[in-house]
Amino acid sequence: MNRISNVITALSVTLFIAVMLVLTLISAVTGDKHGDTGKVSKLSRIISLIDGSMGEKLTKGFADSFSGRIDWVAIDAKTESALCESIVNGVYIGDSRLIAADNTGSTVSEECAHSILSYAHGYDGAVCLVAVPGSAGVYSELLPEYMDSHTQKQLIDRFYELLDTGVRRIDAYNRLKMLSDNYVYYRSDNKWTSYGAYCVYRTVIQKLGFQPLSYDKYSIEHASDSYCGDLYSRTQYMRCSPDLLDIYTYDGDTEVTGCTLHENDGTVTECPLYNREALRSDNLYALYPGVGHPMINIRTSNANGRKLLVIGDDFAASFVPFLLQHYSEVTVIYPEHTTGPLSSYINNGEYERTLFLFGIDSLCGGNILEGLLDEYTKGD
Amino acid sequence: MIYSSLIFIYAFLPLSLLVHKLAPAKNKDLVLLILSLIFLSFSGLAVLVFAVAYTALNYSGGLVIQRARDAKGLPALPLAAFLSADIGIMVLLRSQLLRGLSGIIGLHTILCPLGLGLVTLSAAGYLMDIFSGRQRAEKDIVRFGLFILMFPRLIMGPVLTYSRFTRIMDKRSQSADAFGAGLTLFVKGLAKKVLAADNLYMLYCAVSGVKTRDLSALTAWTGAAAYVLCLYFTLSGLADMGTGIGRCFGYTFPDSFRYPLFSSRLGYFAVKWHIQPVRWFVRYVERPLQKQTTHKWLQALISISVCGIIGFWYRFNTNGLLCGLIFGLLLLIERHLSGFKIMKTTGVIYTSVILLLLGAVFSGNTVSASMRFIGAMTGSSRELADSLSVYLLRSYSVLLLVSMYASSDLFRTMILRAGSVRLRSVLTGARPVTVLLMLIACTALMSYSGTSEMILLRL
Repeated sequence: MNRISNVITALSVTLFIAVMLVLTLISAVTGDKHGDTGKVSKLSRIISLIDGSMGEKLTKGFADSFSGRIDWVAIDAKTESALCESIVNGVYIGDSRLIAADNTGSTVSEECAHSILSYAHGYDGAVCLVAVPGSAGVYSELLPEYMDSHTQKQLIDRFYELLDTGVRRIDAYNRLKMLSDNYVYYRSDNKWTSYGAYCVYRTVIQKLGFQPLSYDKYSIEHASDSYCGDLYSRTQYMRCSPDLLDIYTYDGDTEVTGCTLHENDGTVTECPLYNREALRSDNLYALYPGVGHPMINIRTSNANGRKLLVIGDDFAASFVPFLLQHYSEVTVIYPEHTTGPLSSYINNGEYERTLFLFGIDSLCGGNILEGLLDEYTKGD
Repeated sequence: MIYSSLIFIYAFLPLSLLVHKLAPAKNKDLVLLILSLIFLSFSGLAVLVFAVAYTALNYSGGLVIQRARDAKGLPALPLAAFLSADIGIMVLLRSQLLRGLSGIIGLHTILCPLGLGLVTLSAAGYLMDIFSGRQRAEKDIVRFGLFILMFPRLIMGPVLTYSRFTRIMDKRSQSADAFGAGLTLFVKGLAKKVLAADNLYMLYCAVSGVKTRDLSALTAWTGAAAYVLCLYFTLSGLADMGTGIGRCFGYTFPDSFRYPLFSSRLGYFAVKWHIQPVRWFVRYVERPLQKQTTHKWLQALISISVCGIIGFWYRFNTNGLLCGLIFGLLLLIERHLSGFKIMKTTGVIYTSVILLLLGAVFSGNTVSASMRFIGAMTGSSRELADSLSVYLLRSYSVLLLVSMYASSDLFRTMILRAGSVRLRSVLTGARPVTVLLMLIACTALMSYSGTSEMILLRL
């Protein structure tokens, strides 16, 4: 009996592994290539071979191509929830929302603060910075009590301390915390909603010298009611409903007259302000201006001739539409997707102000502005 | 690459088994060595170069000692030199003191697949056996390379004498039955690591992240239990995976753990816990030293000291040393108390309490931190239970109960003692389904990152 059982085990496990291997190979060959498309120097390739990071990439790549991965992750979430705490792949599965529970960027990037400072010192206009907490910072009280609930606030304060008076620092944390009972953050993502962005816009626009526009004057369109954000993709499991992606349109005189997307190879293409094509893709958030591209330039019918440069991450994408009523031109640069220095994209002398707008996670760990602002830090 | 990763289970292992199966019998050793080098190269060329150089060092060490012995020279001199080199390398790469230096080449972080502590014991044992005449130096570099680098043994041993290793290698036998038994053992080890140890590690981290002065007694005991269980499941899980892989290739390595937790005596625990390394220290350190004296008290002191060395070997800090010394002392006391009747009824409870307290000492990074943690276990820091302890117990009760059951030998005993042939048949017949379900669950838990790398202790 024991022998038969062992033979059946051998056959069934071998068959299962073989099927998964074949399916994974097929998925790797036929699937989309999401691998490293950036420039990798020969030296860094050699280093990755020596220090083992190439092996890590292979391990991660294999997992990414693993057959039926989304279903596997869903099983993972249900198994973990049944077995122990509702923390799956660093995400806390609460009854009302998903919250990032991994302490990824435990320290702020001093190099990033230095880059912003150097930029401010070499720039004629005013520089403002908004460090935005993620949903984990605003809804920290929903996390188990042993998790440090004040980390994000401390990180934002610490980052602001690294800057001097040359950079105007704008508080978003307290505003969002105060309004946390409202729909200011997605339930399935770490990012703010358009409403959250509007709440902070009211503070930011005053610091930029304008009066904020009234909420009543906006018409709101629910572009999608099935948005499942980054936190959902890490768990494939949620006890609450998917999120809404909203488009806020101001009923005023100023209209968007043109939008252009700028790629790293110099290609410029006309585009609509909101990319509605994205609603039919996997990345619904690409609906917002410029998401997934290095730069977007937006021109309006406002004749005041004022130009604003925004350097930011995905938080900036849903924030920018609120600025358009006040400026004749707004350019947004996403350092995550740029490969060259700032001067290869724009002449910053044409902009009277620069607004840095990042989620605090982007300002932790490595320097997200490395490469883009190197020309300002070199002289230091 | 480690065993508990998708790329290993679904790509490297099946392809390796296939290549090894297709290789001619006379070249199987060479093929296995090449596969082991490929396994190592996933951790970087630096690790590969280090491992090859380390093997060459000990291979030449064996030959030099053998030559000195055959020539009636002074084999003690080369033995001392090569042992110093082996131990020096281990200290350099595992010690916190020299972390900065080893960090220059990055080896301290990427030596994960190489159980350096275990490899050092194997190599040092080999050199000492040649010195004492129990073993002749190996001239076959391929066979010796496998002794050091064979990938099923690479992470968690088992530590074997060279003669036993060669006996196992020569007795290679492949059959569907052995292959199934190997896969069963591998999946069992994988489940120990991925399902139990990783989640227990999260529980331990939840407790250890709280300041000691804020810990209630119940939370502290829960944390200590999580640590001890996690340590057991990590070490035994990796060992089972290695032994299972070995069996799939046709090599039967001995088990490393025999359900040590919930033993009714510390002495029983000692003989069931990480059997081969503990035996190594007894064989190569304790016995030779004890032979030098006839004084009972001195022999007892040596036994306690060896326990201290074992503790230090695990953790490479004063906490490990202290934990080992205390364990050795308690072992000695227990031998004198084992005749008492009360020990028969309270044995499991007494052993468990001692192990949890020792776990608190062992887990700390400093002695004072461990003492504060033990203080919290006694309730001196705060109240006996608080909302955190209730939350953790509510969240992790299923895991803790299943882990405690799985770490005991209750299931095994149930099968062995099952009088009914039908019951035994049902339990045995359900094994393939159980193994497949465990593999599916482990695959799901690794599906996001592709690996399970939470390692409580790097040997």
